[in-house]
This record gives sequence, structure tokens and C-alpha cells, in this order.
Amino acid sequence: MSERLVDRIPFAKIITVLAVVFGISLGLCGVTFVISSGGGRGGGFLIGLGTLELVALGVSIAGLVLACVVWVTLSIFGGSGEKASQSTIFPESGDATKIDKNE
Amino acid sequence: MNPCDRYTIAMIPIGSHPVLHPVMETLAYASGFAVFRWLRGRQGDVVDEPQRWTLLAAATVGALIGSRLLGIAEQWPTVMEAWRSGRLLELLLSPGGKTIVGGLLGGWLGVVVVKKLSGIQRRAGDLFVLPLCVGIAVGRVGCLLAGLADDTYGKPTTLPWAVNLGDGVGRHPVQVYEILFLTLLGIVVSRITKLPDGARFRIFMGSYLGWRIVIDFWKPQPLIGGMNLIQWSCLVGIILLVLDEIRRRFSGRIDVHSMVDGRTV
Repeated sequence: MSERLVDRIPFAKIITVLAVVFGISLGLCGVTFVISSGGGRGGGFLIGLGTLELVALGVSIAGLVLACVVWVTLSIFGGSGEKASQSTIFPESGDATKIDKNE
Repeated sequence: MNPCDRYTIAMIPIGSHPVLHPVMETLAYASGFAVFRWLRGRQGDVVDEPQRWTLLAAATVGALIGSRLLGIAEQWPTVMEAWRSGRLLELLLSPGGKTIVGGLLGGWLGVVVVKKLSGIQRRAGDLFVLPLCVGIAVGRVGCLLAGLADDTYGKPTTLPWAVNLGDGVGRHPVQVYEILFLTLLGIVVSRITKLPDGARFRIFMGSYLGWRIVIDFWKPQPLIGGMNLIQWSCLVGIILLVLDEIRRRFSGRIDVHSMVDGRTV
């Protein structure tokens, strides 16, 4: 029995990691802002940190939005394969109840 | 005599080190996740792994949005100014500005929404309690070290444990108070046995939100009706917790997993 696409890709893990990276990079952004506005030391380090955080910020937010959209879309419309999903956001009727009863 | 002079007696020098805040924030996420994995391996889980990750994703995204929105709204005079000058989007994308209370409430809301959508019925928040206590406590070390660059410092005091965050003024180490509170809360909540599923999480949420209502009186924040926006949010959170508890009791819903030794607890 083939797995559905929504089950093959670990969307929940990807989204969790991207959200944490985005949160941290947003904090780093604040640090650079504080240091730069106070005329901080180490220009090279500051440029490196600033570049890194901006890349992380951009990549994580873009990835986060994309992963959420794809996950929701695949959960609604399903993917190829037949196996019932346990990680989908919108399970087929009775899926979640079935899982609960089996515990 | 300068009015500030009375605050300059016997202070613990801390200074302001904003660069350490993201380091501690990263450590907070890492330590929280490490405790979560250890706890899950030790006591098992009430939901299976894919469902747990779905809940984790919902909690993380909800926490991110909630902490950012409340963090920005907390500085409402700046928001009003940005609104008037048409720079609201610029403000939303500006650095800093996240709050733990917004993160907790946003994460809670995210989990509730995803549980409704995905049909997960079990109360699965208990496993988050100890990781949250550890994570927030570690993060608060970063807040303390960030000093005046972080908006979480305390009001001036002459107490012997006052800290000097670089401006020569002795202040309440409110971050240390919170670390002590979380240590106590973590120990107490872990020690209580025979609780129904989800009760540990509700105790944690109610206690932490109540704590924040009290401790935030020792922080210099803009007030609305005698309390700051975080305190009002905590009050709303507590009211929602109480309403949820009343709804559960009056609906007569008995969770079979809440039974211990054949009795409902």
C-alpha cells in the first residue's frame, strides 16, 4: 500500500524547525539593531552576523509560508496513495477517532 | 541629593549585554526540547508521534505569531505613532519585540485550532509543562543579561539584591524572581500525581499567567486602566481557563484516561 504524499513529507517537523529559526533570527535582528545603533565594535563581525540573520530570516519565513500552504493544500486535496493519514491537518472522517481508540 | 542616589546603594553589577540574549534564547529552545524528549522517553505520550509533531508545529507557529503580536502591541504608544505616520508594516518587520505570554497564549490557541481541525481529542499539553518551565527559565537568563536593551527589567529598588544594568540604578531582578518561581512551579507540578490528562498544563498556565499579573507591577511598562497589556492578556487567559474548566465540569464529560485505580480523579 503506497503512502500519501502528505505522509511522506514531514511537514510538521519542517514547520516547527522553520518557526524556531525564524524566531531566533528575529531576535538576532534585534541584537544587531541595538549594537549598530549604539555604534558597536567589530564591523566585520557585525556585517557577517547581519547577513546571516537576514538570510535566515528570509529563508525561514518564505519556507514557513510555503510549507504551511503546501501542507494545508495536500491535507485538503490529498496526495497520491491510499494509506490513511495520521499527520494530516484535515483527516478523513473517523481517522482521528480511530487513532484514539487504538491507543 | 539626586533622587536616583538612593538607588545606587549596594547593587549587583550586571550591565547590558544584548548580544547574549539570542544565545540564551537559542539555548532555551534547545534545553526545552531536550527536556521534552527526555520526558517523552521516560513517561511515554498520550498521542502518537505524527500527532505530537502536528501539535508541536501548531504550538510553535501559534507561539511565534502570538509572541510577536503581543510584543508589538505591548508598546502601544509606538504602535499608535506608527499607525498615524503610516509605518505600521515597517514596525511589524522591525527587530525585537516578543513576549512569553503572547507565545503561550498563541501556542495554546494554535493547538486548540489544529486539534479541532485534525480531530485529535486527547489532552496532550502535560508533556509541555516541564520543558516550558526549563525553556522560559533559561531564556530569562538572557533577558537579565541583555539588561536595559530588553524591555523586561524591573523598577528601581534599594533592596540588597538590586541589580545594576549599566545605568547606575539599582533595580528589582525580576528575571531572577521568575526563574525561582518557575523552578518551584516545575517541582510542584511534577510531584503532583493522579491528575487527569491536561490538568498539569492548565495548572501551569493558570499559575504562570497569575504570576505575570503580579510580577509585571514591578516592571516599567505603559499602562491601560492600571495594568499593562501583558497583564490584561494574562487576565483574559485565566478567564478562558476558568470558562473551559466550568464547561468541562458542567458538560459531565469524563475522560476514560482520567481514571486512576478505577476512580475518576
